[in-house]
Amino acid sequence: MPPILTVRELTTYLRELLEGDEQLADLWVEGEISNVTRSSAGHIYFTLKEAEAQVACILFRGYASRLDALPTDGEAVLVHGRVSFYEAGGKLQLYVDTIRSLGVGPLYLRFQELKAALEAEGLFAPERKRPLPRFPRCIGVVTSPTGAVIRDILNILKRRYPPARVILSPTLVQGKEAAPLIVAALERLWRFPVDLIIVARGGGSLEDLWAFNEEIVARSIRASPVPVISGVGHETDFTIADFAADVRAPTPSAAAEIAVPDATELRKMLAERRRRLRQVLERRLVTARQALETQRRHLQRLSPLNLVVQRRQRVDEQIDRATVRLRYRLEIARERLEGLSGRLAALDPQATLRRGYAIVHRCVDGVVVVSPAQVARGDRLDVRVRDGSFEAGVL
Amino acid sequence: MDRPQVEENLSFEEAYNRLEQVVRRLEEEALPLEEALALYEQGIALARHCQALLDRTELRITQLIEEGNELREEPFEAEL
Repeated sequence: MPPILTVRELTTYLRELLEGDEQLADLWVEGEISNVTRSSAGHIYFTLKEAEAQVACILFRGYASRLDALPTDGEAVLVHGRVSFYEAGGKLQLYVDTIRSLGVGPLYLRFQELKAALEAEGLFAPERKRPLPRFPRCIGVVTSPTGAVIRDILNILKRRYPPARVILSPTLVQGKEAAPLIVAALERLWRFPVDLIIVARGGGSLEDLWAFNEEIVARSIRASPVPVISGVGHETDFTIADFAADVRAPTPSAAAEIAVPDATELRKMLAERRRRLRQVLERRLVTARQALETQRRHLQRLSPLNLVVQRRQRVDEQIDRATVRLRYRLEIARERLEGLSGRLAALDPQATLRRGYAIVHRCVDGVVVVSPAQVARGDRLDVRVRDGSFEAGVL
Repeated sequence: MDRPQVEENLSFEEAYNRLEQVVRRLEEEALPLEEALALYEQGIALARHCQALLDRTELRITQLIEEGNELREEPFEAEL
């Protein structure tokens, strides 16, 4: 019956086994550097590779600070250190203390050579870059059908521009057979009415991304009948596919963002267009209304009814003037009448009587006596005074 | 006057471009009032059509499957 170990017992056993080996405690290893990252604590992690083999390496901060130059991806190096088992991470690691550069690695060299050759051929020329459609109807996506990349791309397309149609052309994106498969996936899309193609892959080492550095992929991208956006790796990763593409996006998500307009922006633009439509129409209506008003006034001036109104007005004016004149004449007549009445009153005999004068008539014939010659002794006279009359006789 | 209709399957691009043309014509040309009114209604209908396309929440996603010599397009079910 073999013993049953706990995980800790197993990892401790492995670590002690490795650390007990004299050769592993002090060795030199030759390989190509890839996947260099630096932890927040300042330690440097990388992978040492050759064709089909790799080993994880760590260079502690203290050793890193003693190096003239930090390791870079693709660099061929000779490293010195010891091998141990990192129990917390469950992996074998090479604990490096010294790195000697042997120059640039073969993969990186191939990359540089191909890039230079295709560039010289004019494959990356700016004038060959096609503009992207503003509102793509159908977007082709060449990537792995599983994993975060396709999910991120679809989420962004869905959020930004739901009217789009998406055709996924699935492919392997890593490994020796990947390049021809990527080409096939790309070219399958050409038989569909896509306006735009996104070629995408998540981040990785130079080896992981290698398929996108193959010449056939670059040529296929350039031969695409519709514009191609590349979104391969992270911001700092550049592949030959990126140079060949019409637009290079720093990441797969960025490729999706570049591919379509933003619905929020579009909504704002639509609202603005509607506002302009309304404004123009309102202005147009105001002008029309003003023109109408001008015409109406003009028409009114020319109306026969208007003539009647004018004549009526003239008649009214005449009546007014006649009335005024009549009143004036009445006034004058009244004033004259009053003057006459005054004079008439002055001539009233009754008024003379009131002042104490008397009027004397002969009783015989009623003649008013104005001279002594009109009377003789014994004549009877009628005397009128203010309050009445009495008879009198001439002595 | 009939309410102007926008074809159901008009693409966003086509509708948006037509809307831009309508706005420009209305702004730049001195059109007879009746024509201006008709254009205005057409513009509003186009803007509505664009809006409706944007409000559609479902992105249509298919994937290409090749079997032998046959290339098929199938719905792509992604958990988004």
